Amino acid sequence: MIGLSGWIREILGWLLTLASLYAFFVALGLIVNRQVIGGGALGILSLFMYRSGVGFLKMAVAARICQQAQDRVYPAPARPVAPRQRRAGA
Amino acid sequence: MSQAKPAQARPVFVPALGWALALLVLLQFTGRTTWMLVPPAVLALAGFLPLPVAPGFFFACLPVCLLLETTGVGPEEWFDALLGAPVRRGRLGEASLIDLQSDELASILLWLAIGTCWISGFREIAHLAMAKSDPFPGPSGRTGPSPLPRSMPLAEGREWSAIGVLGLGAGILVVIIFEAAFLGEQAGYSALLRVRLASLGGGFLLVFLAVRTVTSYLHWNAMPVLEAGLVAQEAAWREGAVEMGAIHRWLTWMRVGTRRGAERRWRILSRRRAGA
Repeated sequence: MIGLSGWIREILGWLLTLASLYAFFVALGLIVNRQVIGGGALGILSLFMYRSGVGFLKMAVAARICQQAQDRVYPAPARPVAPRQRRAGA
Repeated sequence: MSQAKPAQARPVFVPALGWALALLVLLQFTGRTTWMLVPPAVLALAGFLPLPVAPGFFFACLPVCLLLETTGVGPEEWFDALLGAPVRRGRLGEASLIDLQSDELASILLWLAIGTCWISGFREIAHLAMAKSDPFPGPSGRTGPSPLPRSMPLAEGREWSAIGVLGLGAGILVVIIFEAAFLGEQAGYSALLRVRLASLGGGFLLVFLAVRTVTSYLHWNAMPVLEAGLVAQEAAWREGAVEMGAIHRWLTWMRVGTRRGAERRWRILSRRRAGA
């Protein structure tokens, strides 16, 4: 089982990556429409966003694989069976 | 290591694919509609997904598309019928990326499919070459042959990582298509240069990054445990380097302070003893 932190990282990574691609698309549209400086700045920012998102994704996948390997090597111990409660009069 | 897993599947299929593609492109230039670009699109889909029945689909849709080609009603008309009236195309100063007409969109998709198909064929050939050839031929310079396999290892589940190369071809296609879509007849040289540079850099990067994300994700999902551990350690070090540095600085400051205090007390005691 991967922890909540891993899932948050993976979702955040996908969100950042998709947002960066959309920002890159918008930057391309700005540059085509003669707004070169704004488009260039947005493109550089989107590259940073993409890099961060990819880093999050890679980290999440690596953590998931490590966690799966650890679960295979050290499986969770079986839950002890709770002893039956004796009756009060017995 | 599982070598030559993709090599056994389609060694004869790849050159046949190349010749069929060349024929289809020629047919497209001679035909009236773009129906003949649909079979390469099917093959391009097979480049992304390991579909064993993709060649069957290809050869099945080939006569169908030839038949549809004879009707003279291309997929653009189908797109028009599905999307409603075609969007009015603006001039160069008012152009935007989502202002493409449906036939241009269909052309973009189909030409991208052709590029994808071509590059996936190239990828298959590269895999074949990697599986068969020894990158370091000849006897070893030290003590006999190496016990390790000397050909390029193809790890299990990583056969699709080389699709990232297709961003190049797709980017070039984006350049060609955007030039045709955004430039009118009255476009000046500066507008031509701007659109060409923007589509060359931005279009290539956009397609390349999108494809690279998906292929990298597939690649990482197949990473071995040792590599995953190293990646996790490296990321943990990168994320905690500043905090660990701060803790180490504080510990150093505490040790130095403790030592100075002890030295000061020792000096005071020494003076008292000397005075006594």
